Amino acid sequence: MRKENHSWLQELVCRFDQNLKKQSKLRQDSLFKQEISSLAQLLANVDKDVLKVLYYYSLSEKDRFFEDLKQIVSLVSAGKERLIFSDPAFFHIYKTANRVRREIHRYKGFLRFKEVKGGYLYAAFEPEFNVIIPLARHFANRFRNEKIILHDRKRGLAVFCHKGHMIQAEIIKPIPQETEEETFFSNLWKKYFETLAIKERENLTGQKRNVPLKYRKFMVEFEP
Amino acid sequence: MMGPLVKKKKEVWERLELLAQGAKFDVSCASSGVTRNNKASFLGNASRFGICHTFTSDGRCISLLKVLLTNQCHNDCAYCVNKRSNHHPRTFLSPEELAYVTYQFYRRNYIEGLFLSSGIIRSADYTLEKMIDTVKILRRKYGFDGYIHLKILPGASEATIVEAIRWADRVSVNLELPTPQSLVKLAPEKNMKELLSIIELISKKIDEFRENPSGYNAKGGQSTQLIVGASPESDLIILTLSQQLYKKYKLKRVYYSAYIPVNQDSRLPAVSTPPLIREHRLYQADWLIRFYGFTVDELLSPDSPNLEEGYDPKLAWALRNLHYFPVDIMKASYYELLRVPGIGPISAKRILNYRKHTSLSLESLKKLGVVIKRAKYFITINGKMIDQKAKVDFLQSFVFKPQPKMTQLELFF
Ligand code: SF4
Repeated sequence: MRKENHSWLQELVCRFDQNLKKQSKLRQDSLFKQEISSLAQLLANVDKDVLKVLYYYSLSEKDRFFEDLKQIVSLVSAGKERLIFSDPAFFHIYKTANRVRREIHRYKGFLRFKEVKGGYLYAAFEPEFNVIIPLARHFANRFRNEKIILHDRKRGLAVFCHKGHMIQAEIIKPIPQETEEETFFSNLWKKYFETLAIKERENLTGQKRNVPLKYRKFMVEFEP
Repeated sequence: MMGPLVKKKKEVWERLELLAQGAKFDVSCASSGVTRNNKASFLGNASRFGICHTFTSDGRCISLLKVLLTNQCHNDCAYCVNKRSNHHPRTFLSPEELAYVTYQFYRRNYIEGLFLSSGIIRSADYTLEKMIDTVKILRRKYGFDGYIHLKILPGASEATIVEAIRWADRVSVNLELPTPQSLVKLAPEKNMKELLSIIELISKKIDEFRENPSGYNAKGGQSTQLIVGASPESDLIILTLSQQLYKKYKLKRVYYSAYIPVNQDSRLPAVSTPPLIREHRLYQADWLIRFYGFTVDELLSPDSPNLEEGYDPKLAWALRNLHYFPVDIMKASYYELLRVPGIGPISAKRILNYRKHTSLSLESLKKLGVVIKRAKYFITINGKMIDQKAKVDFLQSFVFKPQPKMTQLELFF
């Protein structure tokens, strides 16, 4: 009976390339790349920092992304790239991009993987921005030999990573049960976490500022 | 594989709890300073901050599994929970057990790596070897490439210390107290000269291995920790020592830990609350020394050997040196800009960058990250004061109003 758990992965749809156009939600990451290639001549000379900002901004899924991109491109083609950082239009892009970047950075620490039957490490989360790809890149690299699944439950997106590869996936069956070791180690971690607190220094506001509540939902140590 | 640990459930938990309790007062938990290719760490200005995996209820960043190999110790340092004369249960985790727990925590993304310390059993050398065994198991058997910080035990042989450096990303020897006198009094088995000679040896070896492609070679450098408030030394003495550690031995970090009375011991002062604000000011001053080009003499003198609690050391310096101001944003050099309260390394660099192309306004300074509220008293833009009211007398009334008591402490900036 348990066998079907092994096949649920085969049913994950692995069409990162072909499916992009249909899977509109994952679009911006690659669309952005396409835009880049069609605007290659212009953007080739754009400062890397600016490109990075635009990349993060694209993950914010703001409706105005393409308009904003065009505006930046027109600034660049007018030779005003150096003034970008003092341009008011760019400033709001920059601010949003920073929020995306912060969310990515936080999830690199706060994402929690659960070992489920079949030998997979599964992480669910509900990010504000569409950050699953940069995160998958980070974890695919870090946990090279593991079979990991990142699952953005807010957008219904999933990415499977193994041996450095990233594949877009679809979760169509219930996630398998956690293993016995999982129960053991998540409890061990929870208890370890509790002993760490130094009561003479208690600072719950600091804790709340650093781990906002929206992240805690998926972090074992904050489970009641 | 069903780990043998799972069968001994309760027992493993009890041991880990004791060993975590014994290690938690060591504050040097940063996982920063090392970037390996396969780790693809965060780019840009956050790289040196490392990754926090959670925060404790006292607001500290948890990045590493911080634990002792054993909480048994044949020494009797007054300030330490693990000292010989304390009566509480003693235990250990074997290198294999420790490595396995670390590996399992790491692959669930609970931690960035391991911070391993220990009480001393049999001999320092024997204990350090066991610690290194743990690291070898992790690296070889579990293919663990994450971050490892090893505590070097005073008294270990040179060969064992070198081996520790080869396998760890960072090593540290805790000085704990800033003068030989206090050390003799509170940690009778340790002595300052020996500790400094180990620090010197480590710094030499790290340099030697720098170009060596094999091994981990403590590329994250070495750090140390000083306890603040367990002995009578002034901030001047503490920071002078830190400055020397940074300059002479190229330490990456000196950590300051507000003394928390964990033991009843007649050698220790009676304090009710840990000196957290003092600790915070020391970190700020330390930051000024490392990244702002300040020297200790500029911040403190024998006449006023302690940092002020009411406001930060940079503002305090600026107020004593009003003749230095105002600084003009369009003309000042990098280090001149850094002296302005409200301007840090990042905003100073941005100012240099952008003023080449465009004239800066109050608005653009804000966007570049300058804290106008503080900076406006100390700067001009093209010779013009930002706030005409910002005269010196006004400045002083602003500044000498004691700042509200801090409720939040930034431990890792
Ligand atoms: S040697 Fe270390 S563990 Fe032992 S009593 Fe001193 S500080 Fe504590």
